[in-house]
Amino acid sequence: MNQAQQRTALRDYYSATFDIDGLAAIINFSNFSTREFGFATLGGKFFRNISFENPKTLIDFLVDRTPYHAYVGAVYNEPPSRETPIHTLEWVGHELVFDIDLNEYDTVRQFVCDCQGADQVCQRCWQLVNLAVHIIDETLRLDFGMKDITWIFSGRRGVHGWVTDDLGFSLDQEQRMSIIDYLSVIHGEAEKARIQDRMKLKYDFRYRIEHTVFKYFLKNVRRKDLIDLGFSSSVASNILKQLDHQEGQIDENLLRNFNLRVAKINKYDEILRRWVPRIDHKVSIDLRRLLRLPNSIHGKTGKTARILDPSNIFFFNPDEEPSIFSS
Amino acid sequence: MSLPDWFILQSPPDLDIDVNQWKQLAWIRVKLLEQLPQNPSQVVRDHFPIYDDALNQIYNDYRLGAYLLRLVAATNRRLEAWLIESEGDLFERLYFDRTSLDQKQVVFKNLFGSENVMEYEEFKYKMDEKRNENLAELYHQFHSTRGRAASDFLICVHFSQVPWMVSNRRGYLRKGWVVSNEVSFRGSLKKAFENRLQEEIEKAQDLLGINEDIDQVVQEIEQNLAKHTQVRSQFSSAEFEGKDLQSHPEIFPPCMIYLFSEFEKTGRLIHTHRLQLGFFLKKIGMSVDDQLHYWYEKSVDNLNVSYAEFQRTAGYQIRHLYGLEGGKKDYDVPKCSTIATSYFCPFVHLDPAILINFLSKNHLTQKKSLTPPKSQLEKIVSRSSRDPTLACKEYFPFIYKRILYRKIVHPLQWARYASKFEGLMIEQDESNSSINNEAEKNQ
Repeated sequence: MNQAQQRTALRDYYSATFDIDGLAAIINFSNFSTREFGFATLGGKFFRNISFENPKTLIDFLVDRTPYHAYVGAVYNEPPSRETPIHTLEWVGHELVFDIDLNEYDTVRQFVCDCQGADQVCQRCWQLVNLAVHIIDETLRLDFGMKDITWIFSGRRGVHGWVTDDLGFSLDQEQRMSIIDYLSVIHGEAEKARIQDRMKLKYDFRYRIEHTVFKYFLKNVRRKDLIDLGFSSSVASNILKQLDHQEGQIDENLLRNFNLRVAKINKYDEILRRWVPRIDHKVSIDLRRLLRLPNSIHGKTGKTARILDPSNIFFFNPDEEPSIFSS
Repeated sequence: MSLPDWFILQSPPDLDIDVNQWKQLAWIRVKLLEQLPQNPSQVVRDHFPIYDDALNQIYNDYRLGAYLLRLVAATNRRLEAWLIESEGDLFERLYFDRTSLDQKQVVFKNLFGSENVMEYEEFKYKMDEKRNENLAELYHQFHSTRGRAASDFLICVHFSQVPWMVSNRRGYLRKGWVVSNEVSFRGSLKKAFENRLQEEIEKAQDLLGINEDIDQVVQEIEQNLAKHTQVRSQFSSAEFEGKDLQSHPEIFPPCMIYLFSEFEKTGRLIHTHRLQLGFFLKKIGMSVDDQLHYWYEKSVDNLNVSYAEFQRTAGYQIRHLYGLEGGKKDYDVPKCSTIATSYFCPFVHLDPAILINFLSKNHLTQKKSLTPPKSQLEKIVSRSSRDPTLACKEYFPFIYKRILYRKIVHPLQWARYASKFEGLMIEQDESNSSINNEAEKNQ
């Protein structure tokens, strides 16, 4: 598709398909006029400090200008504009957002799937994102008492988790950082990452992390992975046979058995290191961050940053998402 | 149950009082705070009686004295920092020594907000059956720990009030409540007290300029407390001139210059900020003795502490930075990505309006006095949200009139480039070569 065709596709999408009601479920429209928006053009020019009186004017703008990327930011005491940029305004609030991107997993993806190159995504490596969503969602609800969490496909290689509770909206930087610290099990850069001392993880959380990681690992395990970990060929065959026998259902017995075997070859931390959630810290702690506008189009892929159905979230496949640029 | 009598952040005392008498009370409080670091137990024993005929009057006088000191602190930032540090220490001591179990819960509710504190029994009642199983385990663990003080008890505080405890998983988190024993909340409680006191000091500013007599007394006390507002010697003295790079703040990256000047102004930095600046000063060549002197001379909270005593207590942390204590690890300066998440980066942690103000004033270079145009600064600040290292790189030319082609990924990288352009030499050590490699990778 050439640029003109892409523009037409974008215009058609924003005028006919763009789901503004879905957006209302995530961002509170009561303070819509004082919320910051940002846009990027095809040439890479980036504009922020933009606000709209109401959702209709936003849609008119999207249809008229057809930006390649649309972003939404924090709420301020007055409408941001070029004359009154955000640094002159008082910050009122921003939803708590978690960014899970496959970029963060690039150093460990080789142990999970056969994707070549950073841009490739497959159903297997998407399991890493699914696992992170599973653990973060459950921890936020059970440990932090948050109720309204919406997961949104970022349009390319990740998902964004929007916590839309009133409490999440007003958390300051230190409080957001504490949640990230609580959820982070690995320390250091990706290559040298080490697992935190297990005793420092409180009982419930530790159980949740280990239980979920090993369940996902076993669901997706290949013979090659087991051999690479150091299991003998016969043990690997045995484990796979058991898994086959249970037809993908991982019960507690099988899990306990496998944990013992992993502990024997001292690879417990190795599996955790590869699978535990990796969150982009900067996105969550930055109070003035612009994030992809839910239900908008990702300009590079043409895919919609759509809200994921909670009941079906773990069967989502980014490759199967339609692109408005492909027709 | 009411708040303990010694608690100073209560509703304002009766201010219908002779100004000179009030001054006396403030002065008694100052003496008390000055004595505190030397012998805290003695201060508590002498000044905070448990039984006395005039107990109410004594504590009322202390609160009045503390109230006037807040007005004084509102006029001077170093004095404010000293007062917060000293009152924080006194609070910690009195909370430990002079507070009954019931009063402790009231203090919790006062400092964290009553909606953010829940008694454990009430919390257990509110949780559903299934979750209670785990709570029972926690309860068992709490009671079976050997050597637990009889006065300890379980309490629940909302997670938003105790971020440090959440970060370090010092309590059990259930439905947004951090459940732990009272002892483990003490650090956060002291911090909450210090924050509240700071807020009260800011509010006290509004009371100045109304009554001439009070203003005069405030000014008088401030002058008498001058020793708390001054540093003992100027750091950039001849002692360091031309010898080490630490005497050239013009080569410091924005994060370090901010911490450095903040410490100059207030004499107080939080732990992580102290570490960040300490690592940096070490790596640009400050010796352990120089650094001990530096922190000793600039801090506001060790006025009555001898240098030998300081070396023994706070000195441990400084020697730790140099790998001379504890795990004996020679720590590096954290890189920018770590600073952005765990330490202090102005491009990440400062409010944009404050950031622009700071960046426009930060032109310490000796060669030229540059004033970056505001529009350019606004552009940098708007980018800082997406990529702080890029913003740092783009800010560099405004200070040194040289364009960088690499992002700033490490504070020492900035210092190395800056020292080159400022005509100072920085020794090429291991850490620098690793920075080079990193910068090249980044490019």
